[in-house]
Amino acid sequence: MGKEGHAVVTEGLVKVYGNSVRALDGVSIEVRRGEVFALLGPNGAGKTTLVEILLTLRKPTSGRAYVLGEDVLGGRGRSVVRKRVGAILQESESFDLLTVRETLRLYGRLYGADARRAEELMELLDLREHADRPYGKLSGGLRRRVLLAAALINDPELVFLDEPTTGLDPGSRRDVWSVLKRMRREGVTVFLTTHYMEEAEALADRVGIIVNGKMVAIGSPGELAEKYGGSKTIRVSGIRPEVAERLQRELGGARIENGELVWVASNQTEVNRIVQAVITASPEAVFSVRNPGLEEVFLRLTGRRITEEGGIA
Amino acid sequence: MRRSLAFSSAVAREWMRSKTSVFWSVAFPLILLLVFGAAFGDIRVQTYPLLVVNEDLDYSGRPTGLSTALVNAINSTGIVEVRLAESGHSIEDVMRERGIYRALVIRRGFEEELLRASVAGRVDVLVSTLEYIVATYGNRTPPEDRSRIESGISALKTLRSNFSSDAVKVIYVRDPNDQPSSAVEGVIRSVLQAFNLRLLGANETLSLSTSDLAFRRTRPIDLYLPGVLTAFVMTNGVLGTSSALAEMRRSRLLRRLAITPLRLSELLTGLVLVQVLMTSVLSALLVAVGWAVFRSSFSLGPVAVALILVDSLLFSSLGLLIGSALKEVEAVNAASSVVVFPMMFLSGAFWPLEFAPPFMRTIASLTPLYYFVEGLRAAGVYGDLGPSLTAFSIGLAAFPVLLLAGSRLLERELAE
Repeated sequence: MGKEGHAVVTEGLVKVYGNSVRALDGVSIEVRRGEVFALLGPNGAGKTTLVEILLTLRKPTSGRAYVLGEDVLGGRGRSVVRKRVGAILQESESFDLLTVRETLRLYGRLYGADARRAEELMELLDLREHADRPYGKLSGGLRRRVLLAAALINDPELVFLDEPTTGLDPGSRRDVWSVLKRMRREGVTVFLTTHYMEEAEALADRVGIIVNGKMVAIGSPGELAEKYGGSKTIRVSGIRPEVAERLQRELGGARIENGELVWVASNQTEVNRIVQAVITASPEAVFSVRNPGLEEVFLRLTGRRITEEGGIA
Repeated sequence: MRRSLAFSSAVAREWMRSKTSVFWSVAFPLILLLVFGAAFGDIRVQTYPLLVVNEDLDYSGRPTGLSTALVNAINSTGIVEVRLAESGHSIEDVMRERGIYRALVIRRGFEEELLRASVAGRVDVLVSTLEYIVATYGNRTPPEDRSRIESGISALKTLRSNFSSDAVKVIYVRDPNDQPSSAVEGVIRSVLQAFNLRLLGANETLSLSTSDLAFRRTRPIDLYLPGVLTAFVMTNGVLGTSSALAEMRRSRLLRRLAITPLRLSELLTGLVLVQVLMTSVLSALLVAVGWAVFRSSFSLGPVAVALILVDSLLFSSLGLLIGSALKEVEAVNAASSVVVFPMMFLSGAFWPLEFAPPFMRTIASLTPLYYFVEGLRAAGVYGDLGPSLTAFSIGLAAFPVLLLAGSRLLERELAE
């Protein structure tokens, strides 16, 4: 698939601030049309720099970047970004004293959109009852929903969401997720940056992990878990005690936790072997296999964890 | 243009709903106009109170005719307002008690001494006149006539020796720290001079004739109003635009708008349009209040309106440049204040520079606001377009340069 077939393509993108701060160090990614792509990384990893280059707000030191098939360094690229792309920038806000309706109508007028589009989006994002409240008086979650509505006002083909849920309480975060899931169902391409593992896992079709300006892994959450996640946990319940004792003896490595047999398998082959043996011994057994999450993937790739605040521990 | 109007409409709404912005941009200039207008709006001729202690009483205890005439003459100048004080108390105590730090004391025997002195004076004049005639025309006068005149002079000199030639004194008591006391002293001296002439029966041979030629009734409020208007158009332009830009940068709204179809030129035009709108509202309100409350004769003719618009354009552009050059809200506000407030007070917007020391006038002439103040006063009060030409030249030359420089800086910031 060429550049035209992708929503976003970057090739060896480098951005150096001043003489020494290397925010991006040869980043190459491809984001397919219609997918939700999550760029996962701690604070300072280069996520916002990458998004701002793609939105033509920054110039790369070297490398190329294409959005909807157009080079972002060219005039056409700027024009494409301004007309066919939507965005929520990190920590961005709007006019405090304009109401929700006025805010959306302002963005609508900037894009030449029909006034009905603002009403539609308020309906879609459950903002109708807040339509006449000033933006500055809304809760953090509602503000993000307004910004999301503003990002969608031009019916964009691609939406950039830079840390859209940072600083929100869990309830507000889930509200935003439900809107993003709806967008995914409608086929909008979403380029999301986040430092929340569960957000990337819950929303993304594919995840790119970025650390210190370098892409360290790209793939679907399953692929990443498979490739970098390490061990899987198999829990078995609903079998007779003597069968459990026999399986423990024959397969080895099992422990009993809260009446369940628990194995830790290092790969899928081992998982298959254990599952096969248990089914043979006790067809009525109940299984659960927990794949490693992105947290384990990140830990194995970097040897560190991302904290709730986005730092590295 | 459609996008620019949409943006300026949003900025204008935001501004109108901010009580702080409306207070400082509109209410505060109006309050200032009302307060200063009430204080200096209609200055009449200043009168100064003068305590008069008249000790020269007749046998019935009433002030003598001549002392009363002197007091009335001083009071009728229109500059000094006589406040009579009873005699018999310490003059110092009376001055302190009544808070008037200048007093005239007319001593007992004033009238009598004055009459005597006036007779002596008149005889002196007569003798002097006769001696002049004898000295000048004596050779042509028959000897018997000349002898009669000389004996007459001799009789007059004998009569004159019965009258004292000492000047009658009234006492002026004053506090040297009291500034108006010198002016009051001058008034009293003039009155005494006129009194002397009258007592001698002499006419003024040299007099000053005053001719009033009122081209137009200009009062302080007429000059103050355009000063306030120009100054606040300037402060609103610089502070309003720079802080709006700084706030949009802080909330990252500037970057958000930069990725919409709104062009940078449209964004800047929108910000300037809002200033022009606010300037129009402020100008109309100030002029309306000036006329309604103080009957100011300042008028908003086409040249005055154009000058106000150029004033707004110039200083909004300066605000854009400051807002573009500095990144932090605090730095932008501090820099704008450093530019605005000294210029406001040094330009002569609030007081006439005629009374300022020369170095202040030199400093004022270095501020662009000075030319707008002078231009608007000349155009709106005297209908004189000359001074506004300098302001137009400065404004129209500097405005595009500032706007371009600000826009270049922003452009660079939004595509680092």
